[in-house]
Amino acid sequence: MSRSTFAKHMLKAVWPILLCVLGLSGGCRREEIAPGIGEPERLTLGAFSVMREVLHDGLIPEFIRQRTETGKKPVHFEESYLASGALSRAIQGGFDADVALFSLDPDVEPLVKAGLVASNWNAGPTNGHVVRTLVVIGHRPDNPKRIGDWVDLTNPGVSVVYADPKTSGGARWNLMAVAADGYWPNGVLASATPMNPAGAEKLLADIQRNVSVMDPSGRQSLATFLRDSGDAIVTYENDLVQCERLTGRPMPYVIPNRTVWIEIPAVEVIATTQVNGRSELAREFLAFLGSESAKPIWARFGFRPVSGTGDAEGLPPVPQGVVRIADMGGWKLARENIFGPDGLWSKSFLERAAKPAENAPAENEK
Amino acid sequence: MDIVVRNLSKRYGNFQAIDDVSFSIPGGQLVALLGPSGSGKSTILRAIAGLETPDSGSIELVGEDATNLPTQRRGIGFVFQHFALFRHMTVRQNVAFGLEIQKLPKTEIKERVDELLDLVQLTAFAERFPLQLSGGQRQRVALARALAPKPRVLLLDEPFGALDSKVREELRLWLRRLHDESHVTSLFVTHDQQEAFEVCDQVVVLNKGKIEQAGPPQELYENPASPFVTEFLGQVNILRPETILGMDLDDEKPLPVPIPGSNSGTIYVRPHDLEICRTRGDLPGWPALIRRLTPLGWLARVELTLPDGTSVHVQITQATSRELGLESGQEVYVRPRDLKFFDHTTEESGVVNYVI
Amino acid sequence: MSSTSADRPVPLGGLLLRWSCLSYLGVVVLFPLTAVVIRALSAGPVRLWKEIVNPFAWHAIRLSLTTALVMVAISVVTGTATAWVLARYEFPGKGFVNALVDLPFAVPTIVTGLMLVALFGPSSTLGVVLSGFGLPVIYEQSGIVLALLFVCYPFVVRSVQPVLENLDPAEEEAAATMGAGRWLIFRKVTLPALVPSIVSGAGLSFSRALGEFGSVVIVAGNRPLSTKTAPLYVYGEVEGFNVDGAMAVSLVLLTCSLISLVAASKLAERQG
Repeated sequence: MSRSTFAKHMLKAVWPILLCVLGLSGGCRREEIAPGIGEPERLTLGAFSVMREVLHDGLIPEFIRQRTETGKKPVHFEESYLASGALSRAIQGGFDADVALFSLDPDVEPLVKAGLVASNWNAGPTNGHVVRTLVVIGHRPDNPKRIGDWVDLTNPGVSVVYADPKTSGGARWNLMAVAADGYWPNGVLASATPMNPAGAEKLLADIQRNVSVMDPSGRQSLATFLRDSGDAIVTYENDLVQCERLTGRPMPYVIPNRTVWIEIPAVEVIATTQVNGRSELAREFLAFLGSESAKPIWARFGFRPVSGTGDAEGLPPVPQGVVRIADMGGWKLARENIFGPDGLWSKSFLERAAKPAENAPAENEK
Repeated sequence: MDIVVRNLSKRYGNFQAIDDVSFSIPGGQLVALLGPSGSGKSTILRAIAGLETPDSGSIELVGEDATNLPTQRRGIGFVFQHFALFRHMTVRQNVAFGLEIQKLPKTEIKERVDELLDLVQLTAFAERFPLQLSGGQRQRVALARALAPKPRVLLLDEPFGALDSKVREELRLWLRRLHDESHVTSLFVTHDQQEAFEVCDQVVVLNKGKIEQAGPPQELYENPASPFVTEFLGQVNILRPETILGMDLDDEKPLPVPIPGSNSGTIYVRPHDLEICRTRGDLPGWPALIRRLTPLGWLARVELTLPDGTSVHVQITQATSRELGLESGQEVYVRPRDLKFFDHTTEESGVVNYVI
Repeated sequence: MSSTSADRPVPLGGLLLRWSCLSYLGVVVLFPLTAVVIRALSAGPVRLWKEIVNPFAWHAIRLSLTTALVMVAISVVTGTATAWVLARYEFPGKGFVNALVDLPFAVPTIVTGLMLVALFGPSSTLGVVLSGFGLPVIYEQSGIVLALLFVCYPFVVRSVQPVLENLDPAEEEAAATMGAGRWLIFRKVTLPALVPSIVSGAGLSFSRALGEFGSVVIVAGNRPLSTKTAPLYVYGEVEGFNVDGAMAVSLVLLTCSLISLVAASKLAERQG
């Protein structure tokens, strides 16, 4: 390999990662707002890292604009972005967020237990979720390996990339979408049919056989895919949309017929709002996040509305067979069934290890 | 002739290490290459061993042209100044090394090693490692190791240079005896004139990469062919030709030596070739002042100043000194028994050897 | 005796130096290691054993040990050869090459991983050619070895080179005069003199390789029971809140490291 091609490859390999690291990583920042009438109200917002762009660049400015239009007091946001689990632990440890957005329900549960969040937080029509996204399959431009659904990932010669469910929470929900397809054959109504664990185990094992890289996090997995490794990546739809925004590289994807909704809960941390007297503002902001006017902004960043079919402007239509985690028994049971010590995931590995002849990893053919 | 070197030359950058050297050594002899450091003696030895590649010239070993032969096939034994024993091998393994390369039968190797260890008187140390031996013992192991494969020629590079003087003297005599028994043709590099004289049959004196003179030690001492050899072999007083005139104070007493024709030469007189008299007597001589008298056991060293300011030193026996009643500060007469004059105007061997 | 310290300031200084060096070693190295060991042992032997023989953990440990051993086997040969070339030959640009040897220490290991993927990965020309021959490197076990080779490259070179430079050529010359050929000289004379330094370089490389994370995480593919090494397994267990499992495997890594380092230094001592 010549020097210049080497340099080119290096650059090609490194720049998307740099972009991702700079663009997607969380952090704290204070937003200074031009002084309006009287003392501005304050709202402390905690959210998981992926939310940074859509909140900071899209929703918060729109919320402030709408309030200014209606002649309300200006709001000063204090934003803090952390990994979802870390955010939950931080709030338990005393971080005084008024409103918090998590990547999944289980991160809210300890806050309810600690009395920091109202126990009826998920009682509403949207079950406490403000927005949702889908587990999808990203592929190369022009789809050279003709990937249309999960089963195509089991084809010989297809190299698959996803994050390690051991270290990445996101990866666990990605693989739940795979499991869902194995649980229920195509066309079957999920809510009315019992789950078929053997089918899920087989599909998980068959796809895993084609996996070339399992990075520790979803972000690293995306970076690996951007380095031209793998023919397909299993990840969230909003991640691919956001990646395309940041890198400018087309990130085509398909939505499998059977996949799962990743529903994003947003809660008022009553322990904080009640002390600071910001309950009203917090609820107003939460209502805004689920409002009609927020939908196009969410959609621009790859998120879909909680209500209705979930179709959103600029995003592909939602297929029929999408299930909710609730259909799989809820977060806890689903996780236990698949990733517990005796779960399908571990079992599929150990059975394969017992039959090493089938253990041959996928070849990377370009 | 076991070793024949013809027109050997070697340069290192601007430094001419060997300059057209030729000599030959008959079988069974022990010959010294003697010279100061930088005279090229080690380079010649290493070239004969094949450890250095000469720029030009040829080397013949026991009738075979060895110029382009690799070291391994020259059939030589080599003894290094710093022993170069294999430190991770025992004495026995060291001595057996060359024999094992020849793939001799085990029993034969053992026999030969035992024989050599006996020869160098180290049988009791066979299972020791080199680091557990004294310097003298190590060099004896090195010698046994070099002799074990029965080399055609033994080459020794300052073999005693790293030893203290007492051990060195012992080993010299021992080496001479060893050679008298084994008769392997040996070439011995040293900068120590006494060592060369004591051990070797023939001496080749080197200077600046060239041979100054070669021959039996005594012959070189008595008839040096050049100022360098004269100066290098033993002590000598260096006098200017005019100084001779200073002897001729009395017209009636003729000089015992003819005045050299040329003024651009140098006169050499060895300290033991000068005679001291309290009175002038019948023979010519320089008047001189005793500056210092140093008794050295059975010898005495007398430092004198001649009328023209030249200082000379004289060696006499302590007995003679006592007989003459010499003291420093005395005025005496000093007379050469033998002197050598080298004429600078004639390039080569401008030597006039005067024996009185 | 009242003025002891004034009379003999040197022994006191020496004592102080020894004391402070040992304390430093204790604080910087020994304390954290002890903490790991204590934390691991607190789980109890039964739990530890279960965590170690867990098929995923056991495979990761075996993979780490084998890849490290393969790397050491290759490094010992290439490192000694490199040291040989640097010590014995003169060539233009030698100073540059000499400086280059240490560079793997300076490169952040994650960059090493990215570089290797760019060079040998599925999208590189070389990677395509190698895959064509059925020898894919990146995301395979051979990729792990490759990363370890790069990361540990300086160890053997730098421990052998000075020894080789200070070796008296006379021993080799002596062997040559006795008829030994080049290869025999190297085997019987030079190599034994180098063994202590090779062994110590190998020990260091092995230990370093067992713990290597940054480059391996990029090139290995991290598939459980296939290309997931012990450090990656430990990371996964920590993230999955199975601290006992992480500690158990760490303890195994630590023990292997310690054994290799002590064995190397003992062996080097005996040979020297």
